[in-house]
Amino acid sequence: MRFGPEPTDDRTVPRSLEELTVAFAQAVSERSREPGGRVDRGLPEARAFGTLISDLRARQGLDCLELAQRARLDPVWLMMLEKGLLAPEEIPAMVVARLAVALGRELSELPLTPYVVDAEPGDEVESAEGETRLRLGLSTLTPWVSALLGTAPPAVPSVVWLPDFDLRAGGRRWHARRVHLTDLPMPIPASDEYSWQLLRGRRGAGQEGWSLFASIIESQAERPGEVEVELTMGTQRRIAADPHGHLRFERLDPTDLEPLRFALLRAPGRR
Amino acid sequence: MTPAPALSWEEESVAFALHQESETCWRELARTLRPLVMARLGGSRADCEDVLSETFLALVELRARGGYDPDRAQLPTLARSIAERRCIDRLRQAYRHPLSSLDDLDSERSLPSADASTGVEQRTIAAEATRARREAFRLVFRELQRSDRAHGSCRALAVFFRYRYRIEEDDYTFLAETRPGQDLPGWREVAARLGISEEAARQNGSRGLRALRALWRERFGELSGERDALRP
Repeated sequence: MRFGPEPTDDRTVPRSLEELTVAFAQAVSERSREPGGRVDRGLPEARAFGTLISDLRARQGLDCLELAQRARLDPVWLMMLEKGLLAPEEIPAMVVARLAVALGRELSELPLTPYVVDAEPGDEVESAEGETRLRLGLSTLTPWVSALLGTAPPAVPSVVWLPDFDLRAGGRRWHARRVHLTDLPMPIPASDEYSWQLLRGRRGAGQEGWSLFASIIESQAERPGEVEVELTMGTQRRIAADPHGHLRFERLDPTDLEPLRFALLRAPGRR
Repeated sequence: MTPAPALSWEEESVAFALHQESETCWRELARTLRPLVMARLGGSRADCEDVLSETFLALVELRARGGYDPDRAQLPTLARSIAERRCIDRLRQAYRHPLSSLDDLDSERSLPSADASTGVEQRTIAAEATRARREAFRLVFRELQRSDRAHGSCRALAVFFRYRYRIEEDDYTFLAETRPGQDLPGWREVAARLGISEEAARQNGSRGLRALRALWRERFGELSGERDALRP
């Protein structure tokens, strides 16, 4: 059985260190039966990163189960990562970011990543009819880690800029730009100078949670997209609609970020 | 006495060699080895389980390389000898690098806090300094990784594996030291982690350290060897 970084319903997650030992042995044994038969698929970078995470965890007095719980990871998968068994493509950037948060370090404070230098995963946009999924890269996740760690000065708003993406349906396309997740109750305007003036003193969105903003235009007509879009962010679902294409998804918990999907529910000329 | 699994250990060993070990194999093997490992390690549960998982990984890797022969050794016998070696490695490592005492070196925790407000201020300054040092090290380390990538060498990672305890403690004084410390992981361990010979690990590590020193000097000035003086 193949499994990923997150705990899934079809696998029993170990609840004790003793169970974890056995589950780990079963998983690596199963892995060795897969085509190719290699248990250790890690590059030296991934081995170094696994060692680093394991050492930092031990320094904080955490065991593998505790760190997995903090980072919302499958403990068996985490153990594989710590032992350097995973290939870089098996390690999503999101996991590296979550581990950084769980260990209280900025991404820029980790001496290395599991990836070959300058070949770190970037943003990926996967578009299907009516739905688009975003997989965030390491650079995009850097401010997300800072925001969750709360390391920025109190007056500075937290903003995570997401990649532009298209929504496709019935041969038509809507383009989403200026997509960002922020703890402010309003979108960040285009001009930084203007935004600073506007944002001063406007913080305090803590009670409302975070918001995700996006501007949608109809690609062919270059006019605001009159659309209704559903956002799936982790376990959260929100719907937003606006005749001028300025979407706001409210009351979001930024820690619950993946999977990140946008689905087109309604658009002119589309049922 | 070794408890009996669903199959006998003789049958289980043959099944394991054929990638068909029973559902209870690992559980029984863990139950067999746990008292021995606990006794060797002096009762640390987390360390014990880590040694057991490393032992099981070594068994699976041995089988994957086609190196397991059930006629030569049954699973519990082989597992016991691997586990004992791992225990010795673990004890040696714990003697050299007692992680619990390293927590005391955390600059954010070890600052004096006689005056509450001064304490907060000092902690903030110390935390910022630590962050700046980490980011500076990352910068030069990545520069070296880039150069390694271009030249097909592994100097940066050899330095990491050799000096990782210092790096994790945010102690970068090793960049300024002319004599290696006595408490460093050996080149054999570095070589094993990189999958290269001991001599190649030594060469990559030494060259990497020189290159890192040069990169640090180039970007942040002369190294004095004092911990705080390495602040960029």
